[in-house]
Amino acid sequence: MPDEEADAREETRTGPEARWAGRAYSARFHLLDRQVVDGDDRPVCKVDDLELELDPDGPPRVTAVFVGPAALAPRLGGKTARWLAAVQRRLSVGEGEGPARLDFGRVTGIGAVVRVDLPEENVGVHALEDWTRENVIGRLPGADHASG
Amino acid sequence: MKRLLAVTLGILTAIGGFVDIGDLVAASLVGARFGFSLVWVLLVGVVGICVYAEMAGRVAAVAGRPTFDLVRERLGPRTALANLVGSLLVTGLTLAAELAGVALAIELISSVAHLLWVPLVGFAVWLVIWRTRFETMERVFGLAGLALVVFVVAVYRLDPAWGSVLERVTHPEVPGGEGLPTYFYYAIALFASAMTPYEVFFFSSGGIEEKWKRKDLITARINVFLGFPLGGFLALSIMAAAALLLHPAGIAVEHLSQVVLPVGYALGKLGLGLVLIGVFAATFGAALETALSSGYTVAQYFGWTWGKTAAPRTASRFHAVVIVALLAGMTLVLTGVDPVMVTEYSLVFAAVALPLTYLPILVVANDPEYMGEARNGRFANLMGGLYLVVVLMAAVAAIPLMIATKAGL
Repeated sequence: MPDEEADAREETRTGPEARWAGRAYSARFHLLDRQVVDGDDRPVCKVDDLELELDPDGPPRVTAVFVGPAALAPRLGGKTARWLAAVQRRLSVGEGEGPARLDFGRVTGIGAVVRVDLPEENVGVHALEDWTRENVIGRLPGADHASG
Repeated sequence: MKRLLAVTLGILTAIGGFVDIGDLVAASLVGARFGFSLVWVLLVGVVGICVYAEMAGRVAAVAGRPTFDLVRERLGPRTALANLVGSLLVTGLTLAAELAGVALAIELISSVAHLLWVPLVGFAVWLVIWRTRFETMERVFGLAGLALVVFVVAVYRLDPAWGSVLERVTHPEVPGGEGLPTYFYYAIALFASAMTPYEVFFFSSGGIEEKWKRKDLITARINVFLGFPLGGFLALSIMAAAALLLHPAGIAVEHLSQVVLPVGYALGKLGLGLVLIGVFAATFGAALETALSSGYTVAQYFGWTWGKTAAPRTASRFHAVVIVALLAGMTLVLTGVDPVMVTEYSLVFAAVALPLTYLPILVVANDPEYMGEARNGRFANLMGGLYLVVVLMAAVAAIPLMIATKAGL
């Protein structure tokens, strides 16, 4: 999805970060390309793109965060985009059913990071991480122990 | 004591920036060719890296965001990707050179050809990243790298006429036989290596690995204002030793063995032993810094879990990038390419990466939504703006000067 939604205003969700009531969020400034972290402050992904629901009577609403190279590639444009999309297609395991999607209802805070309450079955969000762990890193001795 | 040991992150970062293999040779080469006439550049570079490392450290401690995270967030995915590619090339080429540098230091001790040591060195670097605690790593290599302080002792023992040295530092003159473009080419090379982007990537990410919070702002600042000037001082003493001994004798520096020559001359075998320990630790530390920085930048661009403090399983993509960077570096060195030339050419990519790294730091350090009360004051912004202009000028001039002077020939 291209970023025409740049100036779409998103209604303030409740979050730990203090903000004046009624102050708007900008999709481009506060959401796109922000780091997403889970409840334990672990990095999850970047906000690679947004899913919008167009409401003929009001401003568009953000309904989901799109994650991964499949979501990022169209935003890069040009040759890089085609290259990244090609790499992504070859790396993906399942059928190409589009980018991984994080429902916006799971977002608990927008600040220096976007906080989400991650579901257990976060299929797709961590596909490459899972693959690397199963096939490369997890097989090396000592991968389970934190070096601190 | 604990406060004192807490500055080793700054020291290790600065060692990677100021006395890694490329700079060891460059500082010595510049001293031998240009005497004291380029010392001012080193001072300008030390102040510049202090200004931006302080901002990056402050953002890491207060907002908890590492530098490359900000780069993508403020510049968008396309420009940030250009920075990522440029930074990765600088960092990767430097990593390759450091692996060769460690191997060369072992060669000087063992007389076994350095290429044979490269795979072992690469493996050792990976093992330290995989198994050693972050703080242990930083203390061992940061503090051992300080053995390079023998250069300071050597300068003192060479007993220069301090008055005339000061005169030559404050009234720089291009030495006869050197062209003005060559002089400025080396000036930019010195400046770029002082402000090389992987320093802020490593420093800010290291602060987060050490779990800096707002109350650690003091630690972050002590790290910056002690570590970087110390690194710069070591580079300065290397340059001075070469300027005092090699410049009058007309010896050109091409190899690591000539870098350590003034110490051997002034302090004998003991000094030579210490300087080799220092070179080994500094290049090994720089290899750790650049290998980790490759992982940090890629992981932070894509938003992956990163860091060496957690179990590798939980950050597998990050560790995979570090392994790939190490393998690529080893492969490059094993082709027999000259490691010092490699770091010189990486300057071209630094020209792209430098402004695109420092601009987002300056912007975010001013953003009250991230920084609250700890945002930039007027002085930090004045210095930050000033240095952004200097960095931009250096970036624009770097490539034409490189071509015009055939990389400083």
